[in-house]
Amino acid sequence: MYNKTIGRKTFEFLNGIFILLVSAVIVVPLLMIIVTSLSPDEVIAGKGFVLIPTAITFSNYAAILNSGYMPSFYNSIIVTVSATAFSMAMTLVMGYALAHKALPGRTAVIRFVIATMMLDAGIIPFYMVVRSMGMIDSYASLIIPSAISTYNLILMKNYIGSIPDSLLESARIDGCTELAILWKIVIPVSIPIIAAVTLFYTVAHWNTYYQVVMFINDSRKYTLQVLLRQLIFQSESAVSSVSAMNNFKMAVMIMTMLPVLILYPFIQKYFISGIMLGSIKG
Amino acid sequence: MKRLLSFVLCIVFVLSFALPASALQAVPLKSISLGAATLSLNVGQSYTLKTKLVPANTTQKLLSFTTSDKAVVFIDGKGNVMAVSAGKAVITVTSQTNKSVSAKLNITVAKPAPVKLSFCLSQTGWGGEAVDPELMKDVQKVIEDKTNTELEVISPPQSTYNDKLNVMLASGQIPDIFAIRKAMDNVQVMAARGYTLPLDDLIKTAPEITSQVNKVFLSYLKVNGKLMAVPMYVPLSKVIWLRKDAANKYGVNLSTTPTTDQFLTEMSKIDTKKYIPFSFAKFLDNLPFFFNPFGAYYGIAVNNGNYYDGFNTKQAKAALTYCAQLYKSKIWDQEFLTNENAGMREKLFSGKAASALDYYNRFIYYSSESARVLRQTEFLPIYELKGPEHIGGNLNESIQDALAISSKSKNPEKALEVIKYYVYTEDGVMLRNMGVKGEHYTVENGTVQPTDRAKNSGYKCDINGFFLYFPTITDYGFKWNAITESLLPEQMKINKEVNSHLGPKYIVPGGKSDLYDKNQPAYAKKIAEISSKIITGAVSVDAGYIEYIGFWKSIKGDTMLAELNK
Repeated sequence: MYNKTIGRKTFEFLNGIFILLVSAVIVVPLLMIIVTSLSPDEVIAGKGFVLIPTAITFSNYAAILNSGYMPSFYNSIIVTVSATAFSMAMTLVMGYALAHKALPGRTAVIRFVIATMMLDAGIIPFYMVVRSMGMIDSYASLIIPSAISTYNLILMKNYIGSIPDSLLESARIDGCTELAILWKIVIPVSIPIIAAVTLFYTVAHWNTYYQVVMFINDSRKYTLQVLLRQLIFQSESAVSSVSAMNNFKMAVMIMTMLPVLILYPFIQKYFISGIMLGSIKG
Repeated sequence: MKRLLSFVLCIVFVLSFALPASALQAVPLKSISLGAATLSLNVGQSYTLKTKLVPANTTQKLLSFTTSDKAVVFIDGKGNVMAVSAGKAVITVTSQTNKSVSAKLNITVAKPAPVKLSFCLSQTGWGGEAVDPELMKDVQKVIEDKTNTELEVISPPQSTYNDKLNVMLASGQIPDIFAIRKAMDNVQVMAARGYTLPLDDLIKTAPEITSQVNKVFLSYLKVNGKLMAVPMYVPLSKVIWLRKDAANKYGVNLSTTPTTDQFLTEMSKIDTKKYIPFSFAKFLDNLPFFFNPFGAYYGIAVNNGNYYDGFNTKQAKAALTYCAQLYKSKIWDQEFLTNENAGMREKLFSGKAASALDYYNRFIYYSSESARVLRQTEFLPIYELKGPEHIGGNLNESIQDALAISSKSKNPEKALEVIKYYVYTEDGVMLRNMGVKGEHYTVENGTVQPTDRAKNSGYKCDINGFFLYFPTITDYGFKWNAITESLLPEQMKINKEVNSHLGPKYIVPGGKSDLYDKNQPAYAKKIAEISSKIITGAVSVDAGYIEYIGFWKSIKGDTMLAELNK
């Protein structure tokens, strides 16, 4: 057995303290947010922020749930699910195509795709394009223009490119079409990257705010993020008199991150291995 | 035969004397004519029946009027017809003496096709600031009904309102009606780019607006002499609100118009560990409150028609020195540069700050909010500070938000009608501030109460807004809650008093100097930056002004003034 020296023990002790401190940096603000969100107004008015609850109320959460939260929650779900599905379909097919070394003009297409990462025309041309496509005020404006994220596409392409050619070749010899290869061979062996990219897309679509505000006019179609942000910023207008106190703002924050927070642990294991695989073999 | 004839003539002759009285009583009504058998009207139109009686000299003139459908056409006892809603109805006019004599008129009431308009107003502009989409829709429906329009409502969240509006305007999609924030500055830019329609001719058809808005304030929204927008609120101004509990605790003794020195010495009595003596929001365009006592002006000012840089004067330097002194002695909120309006308000009503600069209509708001968080106290207004030369004036914000009509609008008349209804009539103001009865609020035992649905969507259900809207409503049709009712007289007194403390406000016309139009945003940003540096003590007044003069030269400030003074 390996005998721990004093130096080693000291190191581990200090290391433990260090890790505890680092965790505290992450946990304490989160705890504070949760506790603050559960505190009544008068406690917040006195202290501003609280770490140890003195009184608990769920009224902030009740207020959010009664504030038209549910319709916009459904809107968010609809947009997120359909946009993620569409994004994944596009990314998978394009990633598979670009992974083919024999694809004519492959380098040119890849460069073209990467160029979109660097070049951004800004919101006004973007708006005009979306408008001329007749997508203003429809969810298509949130799904189609942001269907492919270059970063995710490259991850996907690299992962698929790392699948041994012999595997695909054998399928071709057996008479599979390209789509069948994608469906029967590539997808089953790419589960980790698919899970990771799905999560990336889900989080990105879930958090979309600016595009919703820009492209959607009917407030009944607004997603959760817009509603919650509006609830927080209610008192921003010069003449408004509604004031959102910190406890309410914190409750809003919890509600916003809750769905992703619930989803995360289930995908996390794929998520980490997905990034590793994609990047190392790229 | 002759005899007989003369006999008859005699009888006729005699009878002709006897008849008149009895015969006039009995000229029977033979028929009634209404001119036509059918008539079409539009909803809201009225019409007076053209009843002709045959014979004209009939004595049976009493008629009764009935309608087959009151919901479609309403008729009164004199034959005045009012088209109420779309549909068909038959009007019957019957003689009261002889029920068999009657006439019918078929009326078809058509609803003219509603006019389509797009209307861009922040998400909180639709009924008491409630942001619940269904509640917003309820308000929209009322406006549509009243003005016979079909609105395409664009209601971006407040925090992104300007972004969205600017993107739409720049891409050529100009909403028929749109709200302009910080209107006095922005209307100049928007008009110069041709987004807004001159309203001078249209507004002649709207005495509701011209009679309610002072000409001076309309002139603030003029560009090159043409009216480009109409204000959404009455002119606004800010005063200092001081917590009475803090004042009493530390013996702060200030009148409603103290001198700058009094303010400094009295406020310094407050324990800065317990209270922020004076909280200020990060918006430095609130600084005129402290510039006015020194006779300085925060921006380009006018003196006898001559434009000059109010910021680069010894008065402005004195004002900034005073503010820096307040900051250094910790009276001024040390963290003011990160204060949003909401944060500043919370500091004041929750008792973290002893005073703050805010709108004059907030007496009831602060009093009731402080009670809600169990920090109840009274709030004392300080209307203005008096400087060394005994001059002063509060922060005059004048016109903040205004409504403009698109230069591309196909129906500017209708657009103006919508504005007129929503902003300048009592009904509209009630709707804008309170929403729809039964949806946003209910009245129980004569007291107004928000519905649960509204309460949780940012709905305010308070009286504050009414002080800022155009037609002053005296009878709300309900009572406010007990706290509001008890504070109301004091607030009304303040509303009245504040008008005698208005600080100066100058307007620099757009389109007169290209340099000014181009550099105005940079100028506003720079004077805010220099001011904050001087107040926080990051630079001395002299060093700050050396930097400022460099900037002034870089934007060719002197040429700019010369252009303005041409």
